[in-house]
Amino acid sequence: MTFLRQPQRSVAALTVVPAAATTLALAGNATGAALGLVGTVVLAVGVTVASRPGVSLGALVLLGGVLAAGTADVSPAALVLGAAGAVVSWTTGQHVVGLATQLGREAPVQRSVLAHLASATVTTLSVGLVGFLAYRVSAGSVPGVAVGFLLAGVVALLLALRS
Amino acid sequence: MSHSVDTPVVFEHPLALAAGLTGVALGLVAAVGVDVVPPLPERPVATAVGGGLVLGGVVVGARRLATSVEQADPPVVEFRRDVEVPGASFDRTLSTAVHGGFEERADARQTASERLRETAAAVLAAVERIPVDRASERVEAGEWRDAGSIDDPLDERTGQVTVDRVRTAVGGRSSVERQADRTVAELADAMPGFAGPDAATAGIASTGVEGTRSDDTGPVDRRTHRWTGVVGAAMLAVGVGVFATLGGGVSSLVVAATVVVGGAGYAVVATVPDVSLAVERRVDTGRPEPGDEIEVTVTVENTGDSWLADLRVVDGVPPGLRVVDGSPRYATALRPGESVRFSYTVGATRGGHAFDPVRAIARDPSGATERERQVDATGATSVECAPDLGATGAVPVFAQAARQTGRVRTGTAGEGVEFHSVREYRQGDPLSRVDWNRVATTGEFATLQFHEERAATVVVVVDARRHAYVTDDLEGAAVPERQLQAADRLASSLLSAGDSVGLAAFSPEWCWLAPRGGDTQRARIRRRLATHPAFGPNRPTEPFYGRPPLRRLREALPGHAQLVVCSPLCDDYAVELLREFHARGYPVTVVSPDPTGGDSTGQRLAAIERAVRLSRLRRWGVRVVDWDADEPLPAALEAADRRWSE
Repeated sequence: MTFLRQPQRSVAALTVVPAAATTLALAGNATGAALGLVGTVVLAVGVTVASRPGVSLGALVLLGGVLAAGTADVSPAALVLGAAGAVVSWTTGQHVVGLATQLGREAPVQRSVLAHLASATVTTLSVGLVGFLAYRVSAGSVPGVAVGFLLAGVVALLLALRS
Repeated sequence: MSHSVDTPVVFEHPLALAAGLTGVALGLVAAVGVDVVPPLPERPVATAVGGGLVLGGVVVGARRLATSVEQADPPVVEFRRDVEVPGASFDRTLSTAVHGGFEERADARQTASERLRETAAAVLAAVERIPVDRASERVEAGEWRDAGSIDDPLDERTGQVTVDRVRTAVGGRSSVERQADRTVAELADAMPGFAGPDAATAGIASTGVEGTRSDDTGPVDRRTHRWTGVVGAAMLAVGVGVFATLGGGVSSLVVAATVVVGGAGYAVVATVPDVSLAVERRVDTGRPEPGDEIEVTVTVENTGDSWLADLRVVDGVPPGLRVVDGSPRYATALRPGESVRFSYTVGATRGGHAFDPVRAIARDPSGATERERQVDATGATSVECAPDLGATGAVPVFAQAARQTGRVRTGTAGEGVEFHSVREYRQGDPLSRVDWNRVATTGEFATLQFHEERAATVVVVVDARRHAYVTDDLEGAAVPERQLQAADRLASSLLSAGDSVGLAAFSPEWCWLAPRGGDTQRARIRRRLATHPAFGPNRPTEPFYGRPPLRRLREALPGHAQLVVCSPLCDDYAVELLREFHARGYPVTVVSPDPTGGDSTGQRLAAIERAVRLSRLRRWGVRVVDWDADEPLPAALEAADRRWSE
């Protein structure tokens, strides 16, 4: 018997839940939904074989689905939900792969994965809710370029803060 | 760990900082609508900002490809860590030749190629009975056609690595491994009398234990680089969102992008959690017998004030014990004051086994930082397992084995059963030995002489060097145990045949029991084998090497002693040792438990290398008993005896 560094199926399945949520949220747009479906499958395979690049690729395809749906005027609430699903499934997938390579297949990790899933969901949805409310309040009154500048500035600050 | 983990360093990237502050300022100004700056033309600005973000996002995201996620790599405590699988090092080399960095791969291919050539030379030397130097020259010159594939270089072709990596990821074998395998198969065919280990019966794939470095870490804080490149995804999202705003108003896509930005930001400001744990370990049996199953229960309590969002613990299973059920690892989230309990089962083996400290790995909720600590557990700190060598049942005594190694028919005339010569009667010769036939026919008195049978003096030597702690079966009985069993049975059967038997060890721990006969000696040898530190369950850390220990052993040996050595013969120094004693007039018989398997290329290569060693020893006149794992020892002795009497 070798020490198997792959997650249990039941744990890997938890990762697929937010990815599936993204796909559902994008159901209004054909391209978005298709990309969501492909992303979900890639992500599921990536998690099952404990591949970090596989998980990232799957999440990237999910994000591509969100962007494709976004350019086609899907409702902002669905987009926020889709983006949150992509982020949560990515971070949970990475978490599960990390646990699998560090602790192996036999270790009981459900509690840890559920805690990570919950905290990531709460965090991303909170951020999304704030953004969504700001959007609703300011709709029409703020020029798009201003918001673009703001977000670009924040991203640059994040780059400055990285270590 | 060049960066401080606790606080992100802002001023290391002044350009990004300046750009960020400017961007936020411009955004705020434009949002509030203050006419400080002239109104910007929407289209070119949006195109420039959006295009820049998309491009930048791709560049930043691509960094992910060059970054590897760092995380604690706790040792594989599930298996015995004090034994090595023969050939595992070669398998690791082959794996490095595919998965290593550029230079590592080249080195690994070089190493693998050299080892194959060395083995080829040794096999050729054994086949043609020529010196290894000459054989080596012939192999280098490509003159040996039986192992033709040795001449194909193990060079790496362009693009091959990617193909190999994909292939190994889906459970296939790399091209370098298949090529090495071809050479190994040719060598196995060429090696005379080598049947090869049976891959089917070995059953257990044990291609080396991964991550066996055990005593590597003290407390460590690290950034995992897990979120590297996510800012790139955020930039991409915002960039596409800005393009989308060209249609008029704020695109809803920009709102979605805030989620990604928020996630990345959360990871940047994360700090390492404080780890304060109390760990208690309980073991259900006080004095287990070897083979018993022991349940170990570990309770972990968060005694600190902070919430541990992501805590992973790995119990320090003693190196000599194997986990048979459950897992000594656990991952959970733990509130202050909360505790979790998990349990697993180990199989008991002989000796005292001390637990190592528990390894705790805590991460912040985002997983961006990690803190690794070792925590000493309270409660059970060791498992004592009663020695059991005495309880192996009746030792079968085999006439052949005893005669080969024990009872020695000397060339000296005297008392005995086998006729030697006749000599003139001398006063005092016992009447029973007078040749009465001769008296009747010639009237002369003569005395019959027989071969005198002396009890042999045998010293049983157990090879307990580091290199002797090998096995092909990480789940079953380790080879050191088999050597001890062999030593016990051999000593017992020699004593039954009336020989004097002593005990010694090739080990950094000095062990010596002078040869004597009788049942008391049997008990003494048993006790020694069961309790002496030289035969402990854990692999010795010191090497056994050099003149002083050998001289000490030679000085202790009686001049007429012969040696019975129990050794797996998995390194060349073992052969040198035996040759040295044999050449110095201590006849050597070696009983060698076969620890080689056939599951991997490395294991098959190790089996050939061992066969070469056996053949070399035989050529020097050393008697070799090759003891296969599936075979009872008496059967192996009998087979060897038949071979010797041929």
